[in-house]
Amino acid sequence: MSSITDLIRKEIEDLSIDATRTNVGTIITLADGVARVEGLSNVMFNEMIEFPNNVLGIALNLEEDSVGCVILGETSSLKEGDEVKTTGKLLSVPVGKALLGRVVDAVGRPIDEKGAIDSDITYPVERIAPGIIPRKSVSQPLQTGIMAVDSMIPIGRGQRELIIGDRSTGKTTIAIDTIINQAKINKKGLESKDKNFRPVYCIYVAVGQKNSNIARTIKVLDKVGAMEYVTIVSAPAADNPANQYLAPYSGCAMGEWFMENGMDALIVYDDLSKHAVAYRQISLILKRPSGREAYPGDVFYLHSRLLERSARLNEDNGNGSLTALPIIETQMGDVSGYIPTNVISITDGQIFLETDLFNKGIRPAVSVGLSVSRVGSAAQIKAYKKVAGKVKLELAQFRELAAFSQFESDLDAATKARLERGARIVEMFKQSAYNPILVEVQTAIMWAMQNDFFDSIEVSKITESVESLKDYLATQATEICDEIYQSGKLEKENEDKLRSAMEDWKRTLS
Amino acid sequence: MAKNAKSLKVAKALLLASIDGEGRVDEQKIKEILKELKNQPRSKSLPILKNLLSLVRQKIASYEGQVEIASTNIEDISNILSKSLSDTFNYKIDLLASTNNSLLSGFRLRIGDNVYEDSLHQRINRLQKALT
Repeated sequence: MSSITDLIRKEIEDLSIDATRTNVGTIITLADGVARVEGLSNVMFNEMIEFPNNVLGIALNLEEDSVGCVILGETSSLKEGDEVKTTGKLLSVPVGKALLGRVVDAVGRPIDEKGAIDSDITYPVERIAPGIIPRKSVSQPLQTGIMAVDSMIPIGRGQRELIIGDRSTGKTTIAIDTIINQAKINKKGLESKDKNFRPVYCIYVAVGQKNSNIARTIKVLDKVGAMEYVTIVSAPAADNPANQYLAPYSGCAMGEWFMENGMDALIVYDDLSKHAVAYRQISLILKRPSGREAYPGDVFYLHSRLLERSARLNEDNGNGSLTALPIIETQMGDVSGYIPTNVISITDGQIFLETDLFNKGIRPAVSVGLSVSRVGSAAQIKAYKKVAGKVKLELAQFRELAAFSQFESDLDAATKARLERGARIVEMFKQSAYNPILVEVQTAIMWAMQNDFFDSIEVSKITESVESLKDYLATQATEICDEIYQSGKLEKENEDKLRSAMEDWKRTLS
Repeated sequence: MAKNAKSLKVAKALLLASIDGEGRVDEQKIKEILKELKNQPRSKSLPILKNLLSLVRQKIASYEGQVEIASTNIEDISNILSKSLSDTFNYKIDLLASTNNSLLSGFRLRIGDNVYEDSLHQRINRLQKALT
């Protein structure tokens, strides 16, 4: 009660000030969510513009005789001749932990019917990326829970790793699995009451997606109990292009709050191809000159300024990080397209998913040859590095030999052994969706593969055996898994324990 | 795009030519310009005319303000405001006054792109925004 009276009293005190000055303009044209406004002589670039009926817009084109504004809401109530005014503010979104577990639109308004967002901190949507001095090299791992990725294309906190592939190759699944794995790790870490444990908070930005797909993602995250660590920024295909253009920047601002406050966050941009298309649409309506594939000249800057905001900060700046997993959809596996090459060159590596592998049942359909992580190996834990070091090479050799062996009838023993090992590794990497594996379990499985425990098992039964080993490790060998988790190392005595556990598992298997 | 820039440039030059000694748009000069433009082909004159119209409107709006007052003695208030504004901007500003009872009290003044408002209606709106 007293706070309300204080508020009114303060407002009355403010009322004693002189006349206010606002800069106004008049709508001269209105089409496809973009208004051209005459007037607004004092408007700033990217300033929020107030349209009638509480509709907001952003000034994107400042021209000599007019201002081009994108409208962030329902345009049906607006008409030519309406008066608009400047607000003196840049577009900002609410940030903070209050957003966890919530679904918001491109400007941070809740759309999940769970009430208002209890946060009084806001960050501008467009911000300058951290410079060179506050940054630090990637040194901490961010486990996806996907064996093929964590072993061959490891990701570190603060890294930008592109997920690229054709439609329906499992790009979103990799991102969702990573989010689920963070939730699993967060729960385990927070339960352990380890003071050094750093949870990873996640932001999933859906751009130009079908509403049904977004609803399914929310349902999956809810079902596995991951939503409490996740914020979803939704700008579906039905939303206007301005919102689709803004959503990644809004999500990034939300992630930056965690980074700047000494925490770790992960952001998924699903997907930046549709983001570029939305930006192209806006640019064409604003009559900006178009270039290759009708994209405007600054389409590279569109993504570079977004992805540069993901960083690992040094101790002096809070030691926080923002890891980005942008997604790009290719057409017919063509990675040399305009937007794919742009984003490939901006990011620190890519996970390339192949349609052929996906159709063969190899899921996740990660292409070993075309996927790379430029900085992540520095962040891999020692135990994992020890067991996964040779896997990428072995698998690459297998792919090469497998192609040649089709023409050879008589193979030497060494080649045969490599082929056998490769086929087993391929089977081991097969993993069902929304089923990430914790790093200590992955280490144990990889160790078993490296130490020939799978050699006596038929190739067709490897996936089944891996599942059985996972169950065994989760029930009978929790102690050794915990030791690997705690120390992050694989010493001789751990290996001895692992060996006896594996022998025991093999007995149960037979 | 280039054509429009060119016609805007011409329109600006024409506007400059139509300004009198007091910095106001001279009606006679505008009439002469229009007469001259009539002799030009339509494709050439139309974009220039459109740009000229917009520029003249902006120029006139900079010295002809509109004031809405929630009071009956609008002329007195209008004269006071006009004098005060002319002193501030260092050039004569004419005000077109009208009554607007929805302001409840106070005034709303528009000169060019700027709106100066000190009305009860605006204060209530601000209070409402602060409370919601």
